Amino acid sequence: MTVLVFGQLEDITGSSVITLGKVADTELLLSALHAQYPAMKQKKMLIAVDQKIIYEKTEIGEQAQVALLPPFSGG
Amino acid sequence: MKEKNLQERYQRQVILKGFGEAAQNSLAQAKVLVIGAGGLGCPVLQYLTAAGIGCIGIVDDDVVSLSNLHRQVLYDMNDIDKPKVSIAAAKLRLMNPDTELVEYKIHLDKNNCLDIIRAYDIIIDCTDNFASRYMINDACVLKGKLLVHAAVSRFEGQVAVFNMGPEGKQKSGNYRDLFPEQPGQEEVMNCAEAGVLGVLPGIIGSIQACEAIKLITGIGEPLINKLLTYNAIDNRTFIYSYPGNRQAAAKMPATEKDFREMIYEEVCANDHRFVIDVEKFDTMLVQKNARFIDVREPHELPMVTEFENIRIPLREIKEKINELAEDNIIFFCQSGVRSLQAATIAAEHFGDNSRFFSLQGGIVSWKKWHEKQLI
Repeated sequence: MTVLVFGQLEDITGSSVITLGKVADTELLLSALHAQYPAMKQKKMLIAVDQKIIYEKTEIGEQAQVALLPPFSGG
Repeated sequence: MKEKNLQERYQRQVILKGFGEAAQNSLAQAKVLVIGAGGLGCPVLQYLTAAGIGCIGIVDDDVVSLSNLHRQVLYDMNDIDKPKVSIAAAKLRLMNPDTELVEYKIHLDKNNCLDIIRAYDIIIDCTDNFASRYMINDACVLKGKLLVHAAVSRFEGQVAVFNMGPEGKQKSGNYRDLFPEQPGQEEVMNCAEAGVLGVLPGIIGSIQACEAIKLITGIGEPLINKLLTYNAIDNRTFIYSYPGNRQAAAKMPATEKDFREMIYEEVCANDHRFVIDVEKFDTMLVQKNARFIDVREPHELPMVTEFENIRIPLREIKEKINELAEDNIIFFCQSGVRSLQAATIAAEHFGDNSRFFSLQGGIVSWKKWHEKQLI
């Protein structure tokens, strides 16, 4: 599964697109991300599945587009 | 509005299908407040003034500096050290004398915010820190004001429209619905720390100005309950939707009195236990009782040759933590954000809060302070 990574989260992942093994839902996605990138635990970010930002546990289909969106402060 | 303006100045947009004189008249009657006259604020101010907005308020308490000029295109070399608000207003008046420009050369805070936004229809957030962004959002929710939000980081930008809806009715999502948790000041690097491509806020601020014009004239589809993202590197643009009106309201001040009691500066750099100011920093330099660590990336300027220091970029601090096992350690970076993170990491690792320090305002402030001493 590919995940789009925005903003300064790229400093943690090293790339704006990362590949993870298949995960069934967004909670398992977070566990997988935290295992692979421990620094992500401290980061505030939104998860989007198929261009919808979600705040509750959500299923991730096989073809789903997943994105991680941190807030920006700059102006 | 003068007939000549309708026929000439605004002719190219008045002839647009779906725009016309009615939309132009709406612009002439609109009152817009632009908070922050920096990277985003410059294009927003320029396009809104050019478009014929009736009244524009500008809020900023900063002066122009050389490091602003690569992106803040309203200013030039003659403007350095002068207040942004007065320079911007003077240049915009030359551009369009029909727009009334109101100057607020102040730091917007929870005591003056509600009174200032009261007089405006649309608020445009062009600020550069989370404390201001959450404060402005809450003030707009309390006062029922439309808020056009944008923020930038390096090569990327985000834009959204908050708080749309008829007076007294449930409004569309706001900043707290989108990002419920306010990040600490040290969590996300600002433009001074992370850098920003000069043209990027020009692109994002222009989108922001366009959203404001759409809201005023009623044309098109503004970004309601949507977040637009743009990346200059690959030109990829996405529009993400989010559910408005969630439970984030719990963190919102319910009344104006509550608003004035909110603490927005979550991590106040001034009283943080690791933070030292330039004078304390220099005292420790003279006493030679500390080691100085530059936590910026190797390519970052300005170089620091005035005193002995070693460079350990923030991302390498954890792996090189053993180098910090002894002595007083003073971290510094560009503006004091990353060095505070480094001090926090080191203090946590060694369980010792007494010997790790972070230079407030970073090396930029330190150099500025010393330049002033020479004058």
